[in-house]
Amino acid sequence: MPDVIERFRNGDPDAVQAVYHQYSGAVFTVARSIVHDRELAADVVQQTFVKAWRAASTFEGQRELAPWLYSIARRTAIDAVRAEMKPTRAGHEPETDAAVAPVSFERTWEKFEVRSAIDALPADEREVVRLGHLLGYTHEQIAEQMGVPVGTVKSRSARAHKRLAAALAHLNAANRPTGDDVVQAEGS
Amino acid sequence: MTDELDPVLAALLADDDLWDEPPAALEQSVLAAIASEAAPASAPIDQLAERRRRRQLSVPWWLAAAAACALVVAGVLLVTGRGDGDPERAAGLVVELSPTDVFPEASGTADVAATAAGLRIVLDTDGLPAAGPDHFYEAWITDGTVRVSAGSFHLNGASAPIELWAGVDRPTFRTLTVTLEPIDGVAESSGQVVLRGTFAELDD
Repeated sequence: MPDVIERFRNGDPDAVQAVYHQYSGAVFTVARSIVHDRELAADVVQQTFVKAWRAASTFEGQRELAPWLYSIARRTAIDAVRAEMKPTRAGHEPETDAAVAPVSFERTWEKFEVRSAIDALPADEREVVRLGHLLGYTHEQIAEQMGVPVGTVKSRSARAHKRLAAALAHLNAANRPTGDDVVQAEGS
Repeated sequence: MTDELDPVLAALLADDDLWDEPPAALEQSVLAAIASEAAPASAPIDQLAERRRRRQLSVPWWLAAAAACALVVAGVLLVTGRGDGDPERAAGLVVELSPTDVFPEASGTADVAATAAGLRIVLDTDGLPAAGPDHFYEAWITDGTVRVSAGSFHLNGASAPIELWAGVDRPTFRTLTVTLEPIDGVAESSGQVVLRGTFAELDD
């Protein structure tokens, strides 16, 4: 990853693309959970990666990229909500339908981490988890939907949950960090 | 199924935010925005943006001539005052449109007027490249939650005032956005906003 960061900093399209592929889903999740508007969330994703690229020279390669990107995404999303609520030169009233309820730092960080873990799953395991959790399907329904035996669904589900548990162990109740921990991890 | 997962994290897996994918065209947009900033430092230039730039520069002679004729006709109509007495046309207002990181050099104005037939928008852009053969631009009127299309255009010929219509003129619909859309048959916005402006309540 340090090599990718170095190339990202230099504007190498392949490195930018690699970072985008790895983190765009998690950044989009954070943006959506704060701005509650899909189009505005896409705008936040774009601004996040452009800001990250601009600031890449200040990023120390040995640090974790994820908390740094998360921090930029969260700030950008909050700024976007504030901008939507601010009257413009044309004099319009502040938007009344923009989300104003603050989402906690820990909550959005957990979403970022869970989304990253989901995106790291093999596609077939990811789909089993999606159907089971998002749509509430039983193993039998998932098997029918995916056209595979129930046993295959069960084994994919078990593997997926084992991977997720390992990837997210640091977020378990006993190990859950505070917002300060994450801020320090960002190297700010 | 979730025995190994922390219950709080397992509950998060049912959250729609965790599964929604960014618009497919967003990746190209991010790469283009970064490449356009990196270009002065001799970093690689985005090929798509470069192709668009070349297309924009190479306007066919006949199209340029047609545009010139259209400008003359428009000028004559303006001088003779056509439209001044049009009972269907309400007094409009001019909205300044701001760029996003997609095309930071772009700008524009929109002359917005509420008429008996709907919201009439005359869009004048500057610095917005041709959409190319695989994309188009779409204008939207939104209240921040609901989005109504105001029509599409491509700028593949030249940049000229574009007349658009939206069938909604509710007081809460005060934001005008222009997005870059892939030609993929999906009616939903791609989310790639290239211009954005907000206007005050219109007089009826």
